[in-house]
Amino acid sequence: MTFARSSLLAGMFASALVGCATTNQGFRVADQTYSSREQAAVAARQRNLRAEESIKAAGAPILSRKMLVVVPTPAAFSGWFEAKVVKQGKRYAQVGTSARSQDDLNAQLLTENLKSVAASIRRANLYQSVEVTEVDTTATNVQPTVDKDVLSFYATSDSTGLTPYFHSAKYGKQVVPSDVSTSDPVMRRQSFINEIKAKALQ
Amino acid sequence: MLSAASSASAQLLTVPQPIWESLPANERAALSQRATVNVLPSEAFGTILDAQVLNESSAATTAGSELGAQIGRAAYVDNAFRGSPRNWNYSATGNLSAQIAGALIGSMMDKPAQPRFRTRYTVRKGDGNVEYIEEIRVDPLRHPVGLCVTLSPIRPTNTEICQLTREQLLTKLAVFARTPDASPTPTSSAAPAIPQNVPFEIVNLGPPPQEVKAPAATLAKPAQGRTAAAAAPEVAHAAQQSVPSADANLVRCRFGMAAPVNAPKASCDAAGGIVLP
Repeated sequence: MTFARSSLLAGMFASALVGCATTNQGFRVADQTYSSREQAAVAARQRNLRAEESIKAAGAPILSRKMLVVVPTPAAFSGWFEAKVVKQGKRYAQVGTSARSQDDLNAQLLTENLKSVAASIRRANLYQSVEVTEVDTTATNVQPTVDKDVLSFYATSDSTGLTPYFHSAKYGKQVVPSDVSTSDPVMRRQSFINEIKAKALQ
Repeated sequence: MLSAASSASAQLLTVPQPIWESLPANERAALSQRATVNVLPSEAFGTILDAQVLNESSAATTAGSELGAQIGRAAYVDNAFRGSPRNWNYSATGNLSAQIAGALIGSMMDKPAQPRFRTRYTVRKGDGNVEYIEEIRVDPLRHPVGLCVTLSPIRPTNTEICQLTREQLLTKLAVFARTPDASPTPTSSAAPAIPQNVPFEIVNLGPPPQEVKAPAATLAKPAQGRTAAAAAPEVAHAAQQSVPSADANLVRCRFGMAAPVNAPKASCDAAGGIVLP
């Protein structure tokens, strides 16, 4: 009988622990799980850096135009994540819980990733200059000029993902296709920069 | 209308699409030269006319924990009184522990309360159409009537975007253009006063102050007081071709797996493209 009682108490204790275990599942970056947010962010930055360094620079700027890259802030991305959840009628996780923390990290990493894309375009030396503007929205429609192309990223609560647009005064607004056939950050970045080159030089 | 942007060099100027499209192309080009213009589509903003909230929440259920507690207690009693009476071993503490354990296990089948509030907004969009837009939240908080919002998701925005008229825009743009590095507030002391009798044509905003020859220029003189690029965008397009403009021969150029484009051969080579036969 003592054994039965001990088993019951152990079961109670285990049940309580199951509840605790769901609050911290680590941070995910590209199918890898990290124990802290800082480690995950460092890993993401290293991926970005590898991707940037894979871009070969032209000897001198090829075009006489400039480029403006419009990058949503982490707060804008957080708002986008929340809007997508709320639109489904679900409760958005409280701050501090695992899902919310991962979303906050993803928002930060998305902004950093897009800035890294801008750095890659700068490194490719296509344009005279590449500027980055951070905006507090994921839905912008910034106008190009004759001497300035615009790369912007668009998403609404209906969007499943972020859509990049290349907007030039001469050819209008065009979607930049992203290569989703590989998860390798270097190949994806090179593919994206190739698309930018094609649209810039057309 | 003017929203902050973190770029060191550009201020983001948000303009409603109907008003933007009412400007002549050359004026739009002139403005784009002066500021980073974000054109907000008509269907992307509006004014809230009405809001109704419907509570669709569901209550929590505790059937799982209650059932678990009963099963736990019954199992304990069965065990305690099993066999001959000499072997019976009942304790109230053990009974209570069994109930609690059963309740804990059964609570996994409980359902928490599901707060769900459906808010139906009546919104007059930027193009004048009135539509219903529904939003489901976990709290009954809603935006007030009369608020100017961007849609998808519904977020408060600058009231000026919903109330702006073409004339007001032109007035503000004139001030904005004259003080590109100053505060965009029309009442800024750095901004010259706009004469009330000046026709609100956007040409007033084109030139930097030192280039202004006639402050009250009108559309009848489209090239006056504007930059060359803005006044003749087609010329600027020709001028902003690739740097090695001497190479006028276009080739089919491909970058990686991207679709081939027609580009000057020198540019294609410099950018690492492959010239297709």
